[in-house]
Amino acid sequence: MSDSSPPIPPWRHRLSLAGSIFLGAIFLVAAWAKTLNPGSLADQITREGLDFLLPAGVVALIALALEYFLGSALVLGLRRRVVLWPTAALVVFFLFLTGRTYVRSLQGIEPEDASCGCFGNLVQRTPAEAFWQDLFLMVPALLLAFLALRGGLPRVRTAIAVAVTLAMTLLAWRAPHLPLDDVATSLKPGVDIASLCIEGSSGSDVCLDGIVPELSEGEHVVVLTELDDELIAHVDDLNDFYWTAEAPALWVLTGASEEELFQFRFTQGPTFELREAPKPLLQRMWRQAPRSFEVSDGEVTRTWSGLPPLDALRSAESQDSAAVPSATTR
Amino acid sequence: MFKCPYRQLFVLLLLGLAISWPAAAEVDSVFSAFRPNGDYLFELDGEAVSDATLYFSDRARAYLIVGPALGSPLLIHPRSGVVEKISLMKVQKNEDGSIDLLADASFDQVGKFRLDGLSLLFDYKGQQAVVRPKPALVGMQSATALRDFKPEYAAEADAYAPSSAALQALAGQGRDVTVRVFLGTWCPVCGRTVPKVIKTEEALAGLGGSNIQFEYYGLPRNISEDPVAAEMKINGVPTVVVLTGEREIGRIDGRDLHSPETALRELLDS
Repeated sequence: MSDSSPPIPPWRHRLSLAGSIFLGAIFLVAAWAKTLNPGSLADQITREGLDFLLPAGVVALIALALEYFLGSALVLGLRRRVVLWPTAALVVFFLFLTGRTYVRSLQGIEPEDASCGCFGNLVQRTPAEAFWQDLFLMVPALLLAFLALRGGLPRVRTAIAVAVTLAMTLLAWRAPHLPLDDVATSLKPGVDIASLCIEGSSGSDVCLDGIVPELSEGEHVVVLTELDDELIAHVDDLNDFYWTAEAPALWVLTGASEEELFQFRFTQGPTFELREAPKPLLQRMWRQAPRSFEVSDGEVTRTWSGLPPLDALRSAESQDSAAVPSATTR
Repeated sequence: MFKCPYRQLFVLLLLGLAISWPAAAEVDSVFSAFRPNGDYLFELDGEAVSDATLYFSDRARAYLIVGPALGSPLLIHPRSGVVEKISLMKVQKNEDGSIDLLADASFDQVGKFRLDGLSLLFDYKGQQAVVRPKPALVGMQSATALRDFKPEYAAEADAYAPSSAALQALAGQGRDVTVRVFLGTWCPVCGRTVPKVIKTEEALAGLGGSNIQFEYYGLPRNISEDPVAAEMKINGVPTVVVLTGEREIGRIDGRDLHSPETALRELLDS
């Protein structure tokens, strides 16, 4: 096929290879940022209305597989039509999505999710940043990759790309069931609660320590949750814990609407402190609700998938207060 | 229907008696410590009952509605959905504004409530009773208006003791300063912090006044809808904007409002 074409000068090969590796690396980083939290990608797919043929979870896995295959193929220098044309289509599609969000933000229509573009919740970008970064990083690299198209598909490199794709897609499929919350989200031991922020509508940050300023001092347990059946099943436990004098102060944060909160209050009678938090902020801190963590003087000290071990926390505090007479009182 | 012109007066008298009744009577171990809750309003047949006050008890996990127009106080049990009435004589109001029911109070079931969106509805004496969230107090407000709107604000303000050293320093500072407090009456953090600002304002007035003028500006739940908030780039509440003339010299957010007088003093000193 390319035999009759004039030979490609070496500089074009080098530039093409550099563009290919750079673009492939972007795809791999973007895919990795979403691999450990495919549920968040599925939510984004639902919001974008891209689940019209298949369930959002399946679309998310297909999208990740495609990104991994194209990313690893490009990094391995597979500059073939079968790789580059789907890559071009994907770049155009990403630009369409980020461009649409950017235009909406310029029109004052807020994006529902603070996470913009293709990097999941670990990488926070404004709509403008997402669009311009995608445009200036991906398009030149793509054009460079097209400078020196090659023929045929080398078996070994293709096999490596397929193997990477299968392995990473399998990881993404199983990731929600693996104890990787601390790796996959911004909430992990050692984090200062003041650093858990999203960009607010007027440009300044909305941070966890602004929603619960009380966390800055003393010992606290925070539950991030939906107002769902699991929470309802544990309302009594949480109420009891809240009123245990020796236990750390309990805060329950939810992204529920005003109506959902009203209905919850008048059907469940919670007596613990229930506060609203923006959903995008919660999505930075969880893969699946509920998730909980312990805070000491504004720093996250422990995290738990699900609700906290209330009995263990209570008994630990009781022992501490027996040893030290100055027990925490509410 | 026959309406006794003295009915309300009689109920008020009973309420007064109940409130001033000697506290020797035994208090119910569960149905006690009802504290005023200004988050909701009570309506009968579509008319807001302005003199009805809603209380909530953490211990009882129940709401209590008390007011002359009701006659008997009403108890709302969230878990069971039951509404009961209690004899007014079995209600004891405490000095701190809380309410206890007496141990020998009897509960007569009125019916069951139902929830519809942001409304809790039940039938009471042939009328439709509704509990719904109070609309947010928006726009420029006075401290008195905030105290009246949210009884919790009054209780929190009364309980707060500002640092006298910080107050003295604020009272003695010479600049004309405006402290504009952006708040949401729906916001829990504001409920903890704005009363402290109110108390700081009152304490400064008690010291003979100062050059500091306090303004309170209520915002709706969707803050960005408010043009003043948009103009001032208010992203969250509470936010205190400190101005000299029209020039903004700094802001204090909820994180530093656990001691507003100290935060204000530090800002003015900086």
